[in-house]
This record gives sequence, C-alpha cells and structure tokens, in this order.
Amino acid sequence: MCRLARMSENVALAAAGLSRVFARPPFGRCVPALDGFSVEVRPGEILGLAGPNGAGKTTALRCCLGLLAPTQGRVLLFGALAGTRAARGLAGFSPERFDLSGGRSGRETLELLGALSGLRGRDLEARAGDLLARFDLLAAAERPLCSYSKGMVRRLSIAAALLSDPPLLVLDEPFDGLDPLGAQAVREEIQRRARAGAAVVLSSHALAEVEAVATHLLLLGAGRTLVAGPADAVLAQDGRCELQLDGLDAAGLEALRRLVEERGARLERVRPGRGTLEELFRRSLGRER
Amino acid sequence: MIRRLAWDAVRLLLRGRAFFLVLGAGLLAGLFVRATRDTGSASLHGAHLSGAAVETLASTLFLAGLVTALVFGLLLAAEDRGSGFLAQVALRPVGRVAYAAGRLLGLAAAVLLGTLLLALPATLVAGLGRRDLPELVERARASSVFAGERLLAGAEIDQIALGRPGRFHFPAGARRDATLLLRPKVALGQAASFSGRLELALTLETADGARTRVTPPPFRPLRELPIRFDQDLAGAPFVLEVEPLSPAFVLEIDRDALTVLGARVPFARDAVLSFLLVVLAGITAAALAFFLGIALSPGPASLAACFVLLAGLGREAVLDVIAGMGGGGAAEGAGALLRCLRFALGLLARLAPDFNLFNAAESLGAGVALAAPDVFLALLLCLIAALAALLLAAAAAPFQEK
Repeated sequence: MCRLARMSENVALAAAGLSRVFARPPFGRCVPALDGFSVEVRPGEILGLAGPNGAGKTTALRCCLGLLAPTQGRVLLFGALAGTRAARGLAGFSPERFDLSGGRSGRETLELLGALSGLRGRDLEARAGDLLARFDLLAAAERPLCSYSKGMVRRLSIAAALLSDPPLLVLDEPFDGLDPLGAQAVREEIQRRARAGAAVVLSSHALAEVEAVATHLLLLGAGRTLVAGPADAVLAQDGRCELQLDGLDAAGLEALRRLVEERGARLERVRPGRGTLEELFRRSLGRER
Repeated sequence: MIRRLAWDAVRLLLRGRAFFLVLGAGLLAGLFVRATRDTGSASLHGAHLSGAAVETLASTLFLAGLVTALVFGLLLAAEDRGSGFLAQVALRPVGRVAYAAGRLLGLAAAVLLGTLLLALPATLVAGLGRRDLPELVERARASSVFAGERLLAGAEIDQIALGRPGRFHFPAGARRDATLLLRPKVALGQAASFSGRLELALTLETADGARTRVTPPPFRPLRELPIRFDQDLAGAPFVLEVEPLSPAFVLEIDRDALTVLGARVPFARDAVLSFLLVVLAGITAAALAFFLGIALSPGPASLAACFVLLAGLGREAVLDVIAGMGGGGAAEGAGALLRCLRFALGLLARLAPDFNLFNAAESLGAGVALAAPDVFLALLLCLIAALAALLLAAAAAPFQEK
C-alpha cells in the first residue's frame, strides 16, 4: 500500500498533485483548469473552497469525486481510489446545476436516488419524507421539479446528497439561489453533519456563508492553490481586533479613544450600531415560515 | 435497483405530453391506413385486396413503432447524460451493468406500451374489424405455364405478346373469389413507344369450359395487379389466360408471374405475431439508439440513428432497382460487368437491416413466420443486437468523464 493510501485511511478526502487540462476540440490549444491541487479533509472538518470564476473550483470537486478523470495526480476517498467501485456510496454530491427533472416530483426524485443508494421500503419513504420536511419542501413534494423555484431545486439537491448519510459531503454552490432562511437551514445542516463526524467540502461565491461555516479554507486562483489552512489561521490578522460596545456615550467613546492612543494604537472606525438586512429578513419573515 | 431504474425510465418516457404524442401518432397511423389501404389494389369490383389492409397497417405500425423506439432510446440517453443523472448514479453503489440493464428493461417496457398505444387507436381508426374483415391468404403457383403453345420448364422465362397469350394452369383447391396477382416486366428494347402503361386481358376458364374475360384498367409494369373474379370456383381446377393488348412490347413471364390466393388463414394469430415482431424490432432499435446516445453526445447519436433508419427503409428501393436490372436489362450478352454490379449492389443492400419483415406476408399468413428462415434470422439478430447493446451501453456509460 502506498504512503498516500496508508495516510488516507483516516482521511475522508486526500487529493495529491491534481491537474486537469481541457483540450478544445478539434485542434485548439489545451486549457489548464487545475494545476497541482492538493488537499486533505478529515472527518468533522468543513473545507470551504473559494475563488473567482474559472478558478477551477468545480473541476477540483468533480476530480475529487471521481466524476472527472484528472490529467495528473489522484484522489483517495477513505483510502479508496475515487471513481472506482470501492469509492462509490462514500460521497454525497450536490452539483452546481441540478437538472434532474424528467417530469419527476420532488418525492419521486428523492425516492429514486435513495433506492440507488441502497435504501429500501419504509426506510426509503421515511428518509425521503424526513429530508423533505427538513428542507421545507413537504408542501411541494408531489409537484414536478420543473415547477420548483431555483431555491427549492437547490434545497432538494442538497437533500438528495444527504439521502444515505454519506461520510463525505460535497456541495458545489450550496447557497446559490437560497433566501436567508434557506441559507441558514443549509448552514445548520452542514454544521450538524460535521458534528456527526462527516467531512464536508463546499465551494461557493457567497464568501460570508463560507466563512460562517468553514473550519478550513482554500482559495483557488487560475487552477492553483493561493491560500489554504484552518480558517482561524488563514483569516487571522495580527494586531487587529473588533469590538462591539453597547451603552457607550460620547464622553465614554472619547475616553476609549485616548486610552487606545496612549497604548500606541489607533481607533480606525467608529460607527453607530445598526442591524443587518438579514436580521431584519429573519425577524420579518421567519415567523411566517 | 434495476427495477427502480426500469420503472423510472418508463415513467420518464410515457408520462404527460409523451403519452398523448404517441397516442396521436397512433391515430395518424390509423388515418393513413384508412386513406391508403386500397391504393395499389386495382380491384375490378371495388373490394380491396384481401389482406392488403393488414399488411399496410402492419407496415405502418412497424415504421411508427420503429421511429418511436429510436426517439425513446435517444431521449432516455440524452436525459441521463444531460441532466446529471448519470453522475448521481456514478456516485452511488450501482454497477454499470445494473444501470444499463435497468434502463434497457425500462426501454423495453416503454416500447411495448408505446407500441400498444400506437396499435390500438391505429387499428380502430383504420376501420379494420368492422367491415370487410381482412384476412391473409397463401399464394398458389400455377402447376404448368404455356407461352403460346410452348410449355415452360422449371424456372424458364419466356415472352408473350399480342397474339401469343400465356396460359397458367392452376390445380384444384382454389378459393372462391380468387384474387389474381400479376407481375409483368417489360422487355426493354422492344418498347420504343411504350407509354408507361400496359393493357392486357385476362380470361378465366373453368373446368366446365365456361370462359370469363376481364380487361383491367391500364397499369404500370413491375407492380402487382390484383384482379377479382366474382365467381364460385368450387375448388375445381382452372386456367387463366393472359393476353397482352398493347402492340408495342412483350411481357416476360415465368411460373411466378401469376399467382392466385389460396386458403384463408386466421387473422388473430398473424396480428399478434406482427405486433410481437414490431415490439421486438422496436426494443432492438431503442436499445441500439440508447447505446449510441450514451456513448456519443445526443447530436451525433441522432444522426447515426437516422442513417440506420434511412438505410433500412432504402433497402427495399435498392433491391427493387436490382430486381429491375435483372428483369429488364439482363438481356443476353449483358456480360459479367452487370452481373458483378448486381452482386455488389445486392450484397450492400442486404447488409442494411431488413426492417420490413412484412414483405414475407405469405409466410406470416401461413402462420409459420417463426419457421421462415429470414424471419427466424431477423429474430435471432434482434436478440443478439439487444444483448450487444446492453453490454456496449454498460461499457460506454460515462460514469467518469475523460
């Protein structure tokens, strides 16, 4: 057994030196989408993948799942080579585009994918019903998917990825199209899965959402890893801190400023406190749901 | 798992608009049969050729069923590839063979149901079963044929012309209201002023010496001409005399140039058999189209499927051309070049799939279709092709993009 495989038995996802080049047919030049991508995700960790459009996030996820053959490098899922029979069923995947309509309803889609995951009979029905309820889709369960809104399809896609309680959860743009309440439900689900011991990899442009849930971060640019590591370490900035004060009047604020300047520091920004639009949204609409 | 995949395929292909589209296609096929079933049957007494409507319906259903099956196969493959379903399958503990088997089983069931959806309204709308109950009959060859005074031996071909009639002797056992089929061929080089239509007279001579003469409307050669004698022949032997009336050309005749219809055979068995053949051919076509769609992207797969379909449909036309070359142009001294050309063209044409099994209507009518070598061979090829499609689809399913 090679070193990577031995090391990977306790690692949910281990990718080493992944490169992927897309050739433009028929005689166009080759376009590198991923270059030397390496990552390790252990059970209980949440890896947030960020980067600009075309950075290679989706390519990296598809290579990691074995859906796309890398040009170089390899991926192990719990020690099994990605894309092989042994690795099947280890990962749940919510793709960026979930077009699985075909006239199926939400419940039919979940039951079909659940059956393909090995669930049977009442277990299958109960699991599908539970996920539909958890993602607030029970009322629309019998409607065809083509009548679903973008956010509903996204929630169903994530529910489908969770069907078999996979030990590795891979989510591509999980917050795309979700309203704040839906995003909150997804955040909570991700954190619940991680607490239960699953490894989670998510890729998103919603940086605030990624920051809120990720324990580890990886920033991609032009197919290369720019920054990677635990979120606290990656985001830490020496000497900077954030205070949130309540009940401080003008005199108090002036005293605080003098104290800071005496210590040789500088109070960069002071602004009156106000709520966020998200908080307002939750307060106003949360009760209706 | 296989059952789930199969059931999902059936629902995917036959629910909603697809159901009504197939049903509508069946209605259109029925209307087509109703409008065209008498075409090509130059009946003297207005009654259509016995069995012709059944053959027309079967052929129409065959074509409609085949097109539907091809669409089903391509549609399912495009849906699985384009919607990301294949990726979801690839991540789950589903084997390639299980996936392909489930989808092909679903396709088979959808083709069966789809063909039923086509056949039921088509049969009802075509008007079969209400009046002039159609039937299939065996054809009987003449026991001896005379060209003028000369007796033809075996497969010998001779010519008849104005003043030199051909006489076809038929043994006892002919049915009442016999329908005659004539396949005349114009000998080229002797039809300088040929207008394209041929006139002739037919005389029926019964055992008691009574003679009935009929003159059908002018007709084109190389085409079957059904003629109906409204007489009870009481199973007695009879003679049919064919006399060309157009002076500018001759007719080539042989023992098969004129046949009569023999014993009736039950219709139901033939209908069921025809339906099963349509279903089997449809399943094969759908399986192959699915494999093409899974292996290639939907565009090239559709093109390939259309090519196969056209090749199959064009086969008969090519064979007709070859037959025409043999009948009209193979004059003495035509040489080895023409024979080589015929052989090469014939080989090419026979390589194309023979979708129209109903050309062998005689053997179908005799209720021995499964024993007929070409039908048996076609069934065998269907089974082999379906199995090959299963294995190829399993191997080609892009669980991982390259």
